[in-house]
Amino acid sequence: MALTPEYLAALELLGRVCEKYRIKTGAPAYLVGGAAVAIMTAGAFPSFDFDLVVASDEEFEAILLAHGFKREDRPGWLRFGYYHPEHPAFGWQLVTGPLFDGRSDRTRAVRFEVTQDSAVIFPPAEDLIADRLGQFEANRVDPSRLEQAQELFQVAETIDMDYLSRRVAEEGGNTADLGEREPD
Amino acid sequence: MKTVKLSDHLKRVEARKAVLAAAGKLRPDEAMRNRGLNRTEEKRELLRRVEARAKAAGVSIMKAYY
Repeated sequence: MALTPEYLAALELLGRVCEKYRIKTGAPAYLVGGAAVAIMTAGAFPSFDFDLVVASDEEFEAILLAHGFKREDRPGWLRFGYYHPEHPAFGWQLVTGPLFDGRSDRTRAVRFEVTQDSAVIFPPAEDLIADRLGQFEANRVDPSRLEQAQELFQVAETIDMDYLSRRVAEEGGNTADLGEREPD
Repeated sequence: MKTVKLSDHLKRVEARKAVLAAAGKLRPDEAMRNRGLNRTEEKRELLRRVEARAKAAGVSIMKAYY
């Protein structure tokens, strides 16, 4: 499976919004959750929604709306939920609170340039792995989060094991679940 | 902050997957699909809406678990 043209088109649009927000506020918008993992693994599994962490919901929403996004129409139910009429197969949501409860080392974040005017910022792979392992520990009935963590561990460009171990412990996971990283 | 072209990232990951496949360690994509058991009711509602909009627009998508 690979990222589909429709998915990449939706990501490109999001990247334009994120760049406008970054230039206007000086602060990054971080893509987190399943979409971040799906892109970091080059589309190892499908994802239909984009979760974002931003410092200013108001500023980000204003830029979303200026780019044709619409608010979900049930206030109080889907707070910070958005859709775009030209990309009906996807949803967007703003996640409240600081990136990984303020535990992420944001200097390790990576900016993925989609086009010249479009870029999306991702937390470090170690944080995404820790998040997946923590969620797996919270509900071991669903092994998909563990599988995602293991895939990320294998395909990440680099892994800082000290930082990974700290973040996995903070998220309540276990690095032993990752297995051995295959050499290049 | 490090900047990487998305196209370069995707090529690098595909090359890495080829290494994993050669070592017999490439996991099946289906195993990584979110089963939906940890989703909040809010997220389930968002995904229901995505599916409904895609269907109304005649866009084919893989069904999400929720």
